[in-house]
Amino acid sequence: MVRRVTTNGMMMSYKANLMSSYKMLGQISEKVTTQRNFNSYAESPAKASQAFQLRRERWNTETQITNSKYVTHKFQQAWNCMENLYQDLGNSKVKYSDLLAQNGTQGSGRKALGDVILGAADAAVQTLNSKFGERFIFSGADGDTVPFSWGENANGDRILLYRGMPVDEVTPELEATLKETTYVDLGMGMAEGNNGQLISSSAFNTAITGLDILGYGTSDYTYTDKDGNQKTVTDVPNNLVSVFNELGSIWAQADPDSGALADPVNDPARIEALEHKLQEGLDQLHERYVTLDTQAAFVKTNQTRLEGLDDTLNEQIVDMEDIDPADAITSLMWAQYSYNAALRIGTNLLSQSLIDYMN
Amino acid sequence: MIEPMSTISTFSGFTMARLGIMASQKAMEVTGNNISNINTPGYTRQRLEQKALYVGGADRYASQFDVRVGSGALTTGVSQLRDPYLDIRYRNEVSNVHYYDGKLSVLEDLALIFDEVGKGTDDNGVIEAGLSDLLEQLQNMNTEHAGTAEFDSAVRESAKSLVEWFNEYAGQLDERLATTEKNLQEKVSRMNNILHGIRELNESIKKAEIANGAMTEDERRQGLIGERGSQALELRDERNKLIDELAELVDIDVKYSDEPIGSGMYVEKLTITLSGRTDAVLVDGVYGADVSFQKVPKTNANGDFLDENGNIVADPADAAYIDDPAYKLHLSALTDMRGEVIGPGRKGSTPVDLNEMDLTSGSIQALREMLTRNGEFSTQAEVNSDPRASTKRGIPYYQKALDALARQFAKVFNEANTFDPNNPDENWVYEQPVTDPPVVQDKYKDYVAQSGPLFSSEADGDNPDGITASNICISNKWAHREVSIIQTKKESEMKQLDPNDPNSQWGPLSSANSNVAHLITAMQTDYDYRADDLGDLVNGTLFKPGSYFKGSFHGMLTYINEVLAEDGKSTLEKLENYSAAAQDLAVSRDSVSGVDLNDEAMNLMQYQKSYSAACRLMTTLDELLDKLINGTGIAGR
Repeated sequence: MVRRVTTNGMMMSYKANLMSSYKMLGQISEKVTTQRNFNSYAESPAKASQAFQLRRERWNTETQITNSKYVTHKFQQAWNCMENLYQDLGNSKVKYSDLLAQNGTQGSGRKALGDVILGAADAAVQTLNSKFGERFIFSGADGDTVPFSWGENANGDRILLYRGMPVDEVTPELEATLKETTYVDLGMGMAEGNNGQLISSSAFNTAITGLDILGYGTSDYTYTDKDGNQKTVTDVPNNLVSVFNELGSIWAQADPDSGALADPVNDPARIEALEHKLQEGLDQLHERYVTLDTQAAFVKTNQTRLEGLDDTLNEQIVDMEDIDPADAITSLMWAQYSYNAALRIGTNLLSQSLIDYMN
Repeated sequence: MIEPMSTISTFSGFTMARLGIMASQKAMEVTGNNISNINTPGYTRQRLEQKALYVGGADRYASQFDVRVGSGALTTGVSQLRDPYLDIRYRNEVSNVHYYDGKLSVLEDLALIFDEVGKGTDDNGVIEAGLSDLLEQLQNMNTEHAGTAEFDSAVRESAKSLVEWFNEYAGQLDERLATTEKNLQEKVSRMNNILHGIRELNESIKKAEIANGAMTEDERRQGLIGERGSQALELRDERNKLIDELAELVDIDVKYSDEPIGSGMYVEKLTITLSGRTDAVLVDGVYGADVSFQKVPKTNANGDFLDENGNIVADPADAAYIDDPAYKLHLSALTDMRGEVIGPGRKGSTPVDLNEMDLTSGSIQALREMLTRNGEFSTQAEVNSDPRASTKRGIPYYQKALDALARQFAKVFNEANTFDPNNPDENWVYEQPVTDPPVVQDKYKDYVAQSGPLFSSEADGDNPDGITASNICISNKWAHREVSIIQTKKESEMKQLDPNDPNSQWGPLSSANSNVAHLITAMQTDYDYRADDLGDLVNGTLFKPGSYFKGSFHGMLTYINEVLAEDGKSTLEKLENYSAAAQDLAVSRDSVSGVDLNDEAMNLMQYQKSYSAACRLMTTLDELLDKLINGTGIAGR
């Protein structure tokens, strides 16, 4: 039997189809007004998850860039200090003054040069006590404690202290300061290993230990003098500023008139040893600040990489979330057209029946 | 031999014409009724039943040679055109449609809470952004600012915003639960109204049938239809509408049978049962059931029975009774309008308690499931009553999933900020060997006093246990700056604070940040989320206590949303399928029982013509008889 099509039956089907056409129109309008490809998780669960993942990464990358800038500035500061120490103080003042004192000047000049060297030692300490932000740069992981200060030994001589500990005495506490670290996330995949400890290659250590740069402890120095005699000087400080300090003290204690050394027996050997250490110290300083420079360069390159990553993530997010206006508007026009066509049919559908034609 | 001839009755033609006129007039009335009711919801088109009248049987003057002619049309009644099979199919589909519709509406409500797409500043989400912001604050603190009070405050404020969002979401979920429960109660109440309505209609229809259309068993067996008093047709339409509505709520089986009313007469009886369970009778003729929620004895978490005062009692009969938390239904014994219970021995004479899965579709079952299903947090008991319980996720599942996230988050942060006496890497702060309870070494007292839980389940306290999304908050001590994020848990990063005083306290190196770095990695690490992490929130043994997801905090939030979205998507697809089928069946039903204007217009024309023809017959007969009566035998008058 042929299925009977009733007026109401047609209307019901028409209504249902009109509703779905209208719903489509509504969905596409929403896309065009919000400018988004999807407006809920349900519309596209996979895309929504990915989009949030990208957003998280972007947020963290931008924070890492901020971290990077901070670290770069700190290292920049540190580098400037070390350069100042090496060039102005180390070479220009101390080395030069010492040379002069050795060879050129006599008499009262020696004391003056000694004072210059001592002054350089003071200036070095001040430079090394620079701060970046609220914290000392060269204090390792103890940024609130001043790195270098002057103390006195048992004889009343001035000695250099690193965080309150004499730099010339090797103690376990002093050596422990060399292992201090402060790790910062610069986007190198900061993660912990199975033991719950941070994997050191996955983060950047920003701790700069002044002690490591200048050296510590003492050592013996053996040399052959101009008479061909083997001489050994013991307890020569390894620390560069300690060397400045001692060298300067020796010259400053020279007779202001004759320029004779206070201890003519031991002082020359001492001076010889100290001069050797000075050069060693300056070389070590130089090596350290080249290392620092390399690290700073790494941070800068890394930052460029992070900035590139940030841009890529931004692009990906836009690609994923934002509509292509041309596409969306075309779809919208088509949906509107379909809906209008459906409406037009409606008026024809419901108008005529046999009753209208009966007289 | 004389050929026999049939006799004629003089006036039988008039009867014939009169019957013809009446039939046409009646038919016009029926057509008019159909046309007026074209838009009446649930109206089934009616048709006039006509039979040719044949006066038969032996009569005094009958002759076997008589030519028998019919004597006109008899209108025997008005019938409805309805296909009961289509009704059954339609009601099944509609049951499924409303099951998925009920489920979808709750899922959409949940999506309104959880879905963060397009929300938040710059579309970065809400809790998503909260977690990312907390990470940012930790990063800022970690880069050269560990141990500084103002950065600790910044982290704390960010954490506070985040936990307030957890509280907000949990609050909204509670509200949804309450609203859905109310919705369920309203539906059950509606169901009761419908059952009462059907029962009363059954009574009216029965009365009408007895008055006008009761048939003998033979007539019934012949399958005669249409022998009904016409008022019952409208009542049947009403009843069908109610049954359709009932089918939306629960899945039903509708049966028509014969009920004897004495003297060998039968009337039709309607019986409605649940399709999942034949002893669960909802309506039987004039008797109907009342639906309510089952009452179960109150128990505590261990399964002991409790009385009204909360004391444990041994006998369940002494316990206080509360509404079943699983919302199982209870059908009362069937009663009629006056409250009389159906006779003993008949089905429905005793109350019936429905089991968990006796309802297989319909919006009531959908709401029940959305109110009770725990998905991966289902207990063994729940799986025993519904084998697929662990794959069904209702509001309680989402509440627990959010609780799991809040709890894991708090756990990681709280553990990071406390010294664990059982961990050899951390218990250096305690007197060795470590006692129970552990004693802090004097030199570390101040530092250890700074450590402690950062998140608590009590607003005025520091309790790290029993944290859920609704009670998570910043611990009291952190809020009052007595506790802060400790910088390090490494003994090598400690120093004596005043080197000149050998008795001074020890503290961390001022820039030490290893614990803060740990928190940063912790926010991006994947954790195992196990169902038994929420053991205290579940009533009974877990079906699968193991891990159901491994991911970071952000990942867990995404997971919840993905699960919700997939559920919603698949429910929508099923709903659309069933809706299309139901739509088709509705149109099919309408094609059988709906009024079509073209049809009725044809009928109008047809009956008008037959009316005119019958009138013309009358006129012709009148003329004929006039000739006979007045024009015959007047010759010669």
